[in-house]
Amino acid sequence: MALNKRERKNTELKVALAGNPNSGKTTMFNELTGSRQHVGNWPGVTVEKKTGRAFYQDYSLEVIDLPGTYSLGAYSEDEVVARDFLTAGDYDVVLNIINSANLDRNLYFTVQLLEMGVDLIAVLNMADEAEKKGIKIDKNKLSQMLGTPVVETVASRGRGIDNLLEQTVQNRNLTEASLKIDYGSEVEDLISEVVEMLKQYDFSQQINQRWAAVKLIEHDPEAVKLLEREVGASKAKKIKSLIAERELKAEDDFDNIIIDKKYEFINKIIEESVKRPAADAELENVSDKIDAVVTNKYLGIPIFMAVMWAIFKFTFTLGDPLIGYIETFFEIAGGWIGTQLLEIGVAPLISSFITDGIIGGVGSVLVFIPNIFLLFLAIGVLEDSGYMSRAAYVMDKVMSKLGLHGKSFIPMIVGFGCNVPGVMATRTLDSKRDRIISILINPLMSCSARLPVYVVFAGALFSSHASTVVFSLYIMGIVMAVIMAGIFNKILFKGERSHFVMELPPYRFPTLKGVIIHMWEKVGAFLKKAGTIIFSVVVLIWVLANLPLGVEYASAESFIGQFGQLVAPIFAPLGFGSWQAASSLVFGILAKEVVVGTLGVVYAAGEGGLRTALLANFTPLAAYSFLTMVLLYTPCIATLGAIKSETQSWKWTLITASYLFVLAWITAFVIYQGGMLLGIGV
Amino acid sequence: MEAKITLSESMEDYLEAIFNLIKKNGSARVTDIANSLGIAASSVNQGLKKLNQQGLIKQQKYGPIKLTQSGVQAAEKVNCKHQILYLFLHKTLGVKPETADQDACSIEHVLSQESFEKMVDYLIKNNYIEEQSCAFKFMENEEEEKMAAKELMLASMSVGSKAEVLKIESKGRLKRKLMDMGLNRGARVEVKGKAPMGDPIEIKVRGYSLSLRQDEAAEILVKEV
Ligand SMILES: Nc1nc2c(ncn2[C@@H]2O[C@H](COP(=O)(O)OP(=O)(O)O)[C@@H](O)[C@H]2O)c(=O)[nH]1
Ligand SMILES: [Mg+2]
Repeated sequence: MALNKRERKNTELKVALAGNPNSGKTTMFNELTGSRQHVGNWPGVTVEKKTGRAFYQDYSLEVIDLPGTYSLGAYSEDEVVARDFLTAGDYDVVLNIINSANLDRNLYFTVQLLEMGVDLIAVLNMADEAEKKGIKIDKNKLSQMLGTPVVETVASRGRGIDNLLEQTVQNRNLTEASLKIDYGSEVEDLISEVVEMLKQYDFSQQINQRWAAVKLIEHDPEAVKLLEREVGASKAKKIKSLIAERELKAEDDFDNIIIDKKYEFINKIIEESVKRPAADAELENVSDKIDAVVTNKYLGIPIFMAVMWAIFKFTFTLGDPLIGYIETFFEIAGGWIGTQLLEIGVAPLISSFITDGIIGGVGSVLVFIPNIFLLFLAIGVLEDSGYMSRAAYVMDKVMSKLGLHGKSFIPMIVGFGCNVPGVMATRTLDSKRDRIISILINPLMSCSARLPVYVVFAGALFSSHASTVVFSLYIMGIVMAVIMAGIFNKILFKGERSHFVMELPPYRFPTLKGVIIHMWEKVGAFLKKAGTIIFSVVVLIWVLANLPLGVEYASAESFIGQFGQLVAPIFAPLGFGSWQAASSLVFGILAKEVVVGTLGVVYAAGEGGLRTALLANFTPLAAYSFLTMVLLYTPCIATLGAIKSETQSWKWTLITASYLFVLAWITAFVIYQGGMLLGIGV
Repeated sequence: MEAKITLSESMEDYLEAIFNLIKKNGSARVTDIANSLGIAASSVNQGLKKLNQQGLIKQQKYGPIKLTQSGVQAAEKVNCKHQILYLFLHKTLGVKPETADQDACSIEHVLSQESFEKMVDYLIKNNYIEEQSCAFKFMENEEEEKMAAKELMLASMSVGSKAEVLKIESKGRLKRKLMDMGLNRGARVEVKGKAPMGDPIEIKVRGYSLSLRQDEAAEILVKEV
């Protein structure tokens, strides 16, 4: 294009969407950007970053969907991201999305932004809901009192979007003076004094001094940290002790006074610019009525269980046949390509590399797609409808005993189907601590891929008690998860008090568009991030099982076979020190069910021969110890890939892989050696 | 008041003894308490158990005994009654100091609040006690407690009741979070319901629904409206 730099700058805007959770930011984001979206991560954290592009007239807008936040206080990783972005100031305009039906609380955030000096447009979204409740807002008055443009929208129906875009480009160079709230003489005097003190320091030229002073006076930990970093601890102490000294004499703590004045200010705005129906029409009470049933003392838990069961069925019963098609497709495609390659004279090893290694690798990534697709369709509906928060509310009592959040229940349940979507479902948790602990213990939920291993062993060695043995393994996984959650809480996150101060948003009908986009993003993220890891490891293991040149696949002479021989002694105290058992565990990293197939190959057992081979090689005790190992040890590569992509950290991925291995070894050791001592099943 | 009390089981004596020992030595051990009250260590242990149940003392196994906040208050109060009785007997009636002390020791446990206040009034009028006397503190406290009787914890409100927030007792981040969610002084709240297992609870504040755990709601003081 023939634009010079300056012109381009003039028509390129960076616009951020900020506001309370559930105010409609993402819906607005989807409206503005359509399919021109990109989902990534904010650097160094597990928080999703959504950016997209919108075009209006000659303007091109980069739009950023910030995580929802109620204040600049920043209590979770998400809120820190939003706060840091807003304070850094690298944007042209902030679109502050406000739920018009709940101005009181939404304006609290708006006022904080305006005090800080953020150039924003107040977007009165959900105008339809406000209308239904009979709330009338005088936009001009509100705009005048806030000192900033006000626009009305209904994001879910695309109403008012053009006007919003128009206002955005018109106000691209908005430089309103920051909002001033009168905090009363006591605080105001102190503010002036602190501002005077701040003026001595260079760093204060770049910030809003009044705002910084207010933050210091209300003991905002971030503000105090910033001050200490900029001027040193001893000079910071002067300011801090001035504030402390005044606070002693004041009639109340300053943070109380400041917050009260803020709400007073908001109440005044609402009084003058909002008309509410006299008898707060009990229209909205649809939500309350649904709540009365859904969180009912007797019905709450059964309803929750039914919903969980439905999600599980939906994800796996519907998904598994689809997985079957994908597997069949890749088998046929692999077979066909294999014969074609052989016909044109490609060496068998190369042909096998392409069909089994590469095509097999792609296949092992794609088999997860149906489950992820369906699960996030279900989760999308749960979240957008508002039930997700109620599920957390109903289960919090139990989960808080484990030091977890009510919402952690869902990833756990999903984990029984497959740990990959289980790990991905931890995205719904707000605090990093809940997220990490839920991820760390998710592999302990015995996924469906482990069942074939249990079934084959139990059928061969525990004929009459087979189902008891399988059931005991599921229970063992849950017990271990409870124990480990307790331990991680103590050692990794000691002293962090979790809370459950959470909004229960009104029930709403989810929009198809929102749910589909949400689901699509998850699949995309999985393919891009976890997919590459899974694919590389599948190919690598294929190569190691076929080298050195000329060996039979997975035989004792292959690298993996040799590795199996090398590490077999580690498993001897657990009752299964053979290289066959060891290599089957190595292959189990590909996917847990592969353990069975590998045992078939390494014992050179044909159909039905595996049973005899197992009877010959395992005592019942050793078999139970082996199954314990399969249950608990290092999760499959797909799960590890998902963990890496969710935590954005190799550290947590390696911690999961290694703690589980150690846990598995110790548990199997106790079981086997304990059993030997007691003389059970030897 | 030390040696003369022989076999009294009164909890107040224990409290007083612990209080004085802590003041003197910085800590109180079972043997010291037994010595100062002149009774056997085994009965001291029984007494301590009761105090512990009432939340007046904290005792780690075999560790020193500490008074809880309410323990300190109770002990201070007994102590104060003792002082006032002593002054009253000695200054106004002219009882000998030793006798006054001994009698104060016996009467302090049964003295009613009314008589206590009247004695204080009388002593003040006759300039026998000074401004900083413990008596002022306890008369004020009593009034505050009466005032505070209407203060309730949000956690103790029943479903359907409405209240106004008086104070957030939480500290640090939790306090800020609660206030950021709109639970500041003067905010109107309504208890909407409890989760099936009784915890957390759902309240309505500033037109929206908020959930809180019981222990979080216990730190929010409200008055019913
Ligand atoms: N009635 C109504 N619902 C809306 C509007 N905007 C968004 N929603 C719904 O509000 C819910 C939360 O929206 P979302 O965009 O996820 O909010 P976010 O948390 O701010 O990103 C969804 O169910 C939306 O469909 C609106 O203008 N009117
Ligand atoms: Mg959103």
